[in-house]
Amino acid sequence: MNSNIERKVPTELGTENVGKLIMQYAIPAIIAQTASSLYHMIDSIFIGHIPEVGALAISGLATTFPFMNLSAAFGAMVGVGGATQLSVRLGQRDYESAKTILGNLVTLNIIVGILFAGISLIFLDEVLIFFGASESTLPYARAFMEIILYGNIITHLYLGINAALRASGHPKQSMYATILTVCMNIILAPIFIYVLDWGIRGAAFATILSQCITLAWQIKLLSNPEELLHLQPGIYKLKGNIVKGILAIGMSPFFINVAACLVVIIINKGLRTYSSDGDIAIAAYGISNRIQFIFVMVVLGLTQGMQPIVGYNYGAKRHSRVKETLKLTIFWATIITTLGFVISEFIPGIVARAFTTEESLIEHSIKAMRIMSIFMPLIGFQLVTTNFFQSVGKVKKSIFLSLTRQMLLLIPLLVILPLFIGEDGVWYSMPISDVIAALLTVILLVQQFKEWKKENIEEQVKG
Amino acid sequence: MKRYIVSIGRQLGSGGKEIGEKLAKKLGISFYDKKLLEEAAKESGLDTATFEGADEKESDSFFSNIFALRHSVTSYFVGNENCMDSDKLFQIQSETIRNIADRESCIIIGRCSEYVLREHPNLISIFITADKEERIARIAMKEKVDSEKAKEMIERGDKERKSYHDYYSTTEWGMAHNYDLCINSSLLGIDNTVEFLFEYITHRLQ
Repeated sequence: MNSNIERKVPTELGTENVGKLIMQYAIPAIIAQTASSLYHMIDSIFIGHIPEVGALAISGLATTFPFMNLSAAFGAMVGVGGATQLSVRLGQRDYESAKTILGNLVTLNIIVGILFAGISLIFLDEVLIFFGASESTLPYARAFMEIILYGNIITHLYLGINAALRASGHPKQSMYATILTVCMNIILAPIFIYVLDWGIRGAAFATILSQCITLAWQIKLLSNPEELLHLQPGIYKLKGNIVKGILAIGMSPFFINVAACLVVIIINKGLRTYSSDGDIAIAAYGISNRIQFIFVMVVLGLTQGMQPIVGYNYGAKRHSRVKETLKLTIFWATIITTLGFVISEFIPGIVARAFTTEESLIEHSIKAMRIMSIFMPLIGFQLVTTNFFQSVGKVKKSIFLSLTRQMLLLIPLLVILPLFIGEDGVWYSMPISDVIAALLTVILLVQQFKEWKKENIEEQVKG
Repeated sequence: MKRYIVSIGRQLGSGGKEIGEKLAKKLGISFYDKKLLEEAAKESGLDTATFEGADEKESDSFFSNIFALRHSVTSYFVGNENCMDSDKLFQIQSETIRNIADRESCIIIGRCSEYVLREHPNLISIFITADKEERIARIAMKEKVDSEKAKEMIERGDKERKSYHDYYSTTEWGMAHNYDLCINSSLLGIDNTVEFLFEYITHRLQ
């Protein structure tokens, strides 16, 4: 198992067929991405079918999304920071330092997990109302969130150790852990919700219990003393320089998640202010968002497969292969988001009915899905190109493009448009921001290729 | 004679490279500075310019680190261990350093080589400093800039080397206890420093 740690130079990235490489690198990423977003979608479907209260429960659940983002922000800060450091040390076969990083990652996860849960539980009602809950949806949001927060430490440890497993040369086990958790949740959720009649609490409990079982398995895997890197006494005491290193790297995933949380809060607040029935509007957003998210996640998995291929060939100056990879990835990404577009525009009713039986919510969700997805085919291109810029080291352009779609354009639109056209303004903000972002992306991409062409000609003249 | 490696860390403008070159000639062993990058490029199939782009630079500026998608939320849930980035380049380069160390005795300049080869039985690690005025004068002459500009370059260069070194190794750049020998090249001058180091290395190898 340890042989995976020493990763060979991936020269096949420069020679093997590009289409085959994309498949090879993208499929595991797509599976893991889809698994975790399916997980949330299935939870919503189960909760939506709780008799009598379905629509209100879905709305309450939607107000917990930003909360989950915030929790992920703190978890990712420790998890990504620790895993990145771990991977650098293992690349240097520095097992002593790697052990201490693993131990510190566990300790930090526990501290951050407890602090976040403790503070959140004290101010739970205030925070949920701030995130968009109303008097009628608050009980559901609170019931769900309470269990999730009591189990917060398990969630953080499960995700943190999974990141560590991946970084320490066990990507397969880490993927199995993700799939195992999703499957258990799908089995346990209906039992807890309907059979044991625990309602929305049952969904939360199923989530935590599945993570708990997987965590036990992960700990068993990582406790094997035959592994060079394993959990052992003496590695858990926090060390200043390691904590500093983890947090320095962890800042970036932290801010990205906080930003995501902020946008959802603004959307929920907009819907609450401008809609005649805020609870139903927020629930409709919850449903449409879940659907769009799945397609976005598949594309993000695809771009993860593209990254090493583009990165390597760009570094090897094989420009034709870089271009070929980009084209092929955009092609597949567009097919995926177009599929999402077709579903949202032509059969939104079938989708909405999967989540709820309440007619007003179905109607509202159909409207939301149709508006949100108007420019969805363009999102594939936008996401791939944003990631492409990062793969070729143009980090600032990549950050700019990523921020425009999700924040720089979206937030002002969300604030201004509803002033003129009310609730519709909230919904239309999303596709408008998508289409402007896609246009900006085209401009930057064309510019970039012109720049490269010029550099190429100059090099040829010099050579 | 047994195989040995001399790793030379140095402040910008301390004459470390020149000392290394002369010392290598005197010892009759190979000298690796930028040549290391060419070799790493050859082994990996990447272009030398790619390694130069990431050579002893800070891995990320503060701004790009905050919103860098490299460590994005995706890497939390799914991971990006295949990622081709500066971490990967460093790993490839380290592999090259180890291959060279397995093959021949040599002098390696910078690139955390004293950390990468920390388990090599015959590693001799040296850190070279110089008086600030002399460093400024040397850089001003070499880069054909005025002393104001040279001073700026030195300060930035030291910061970059430190941040690169401290990110990729577990020790602190330029701290005496990380090296076998630290020496100020201004005191003896380049040639006498080479003489002195030659003596030292000969003693170490006995």
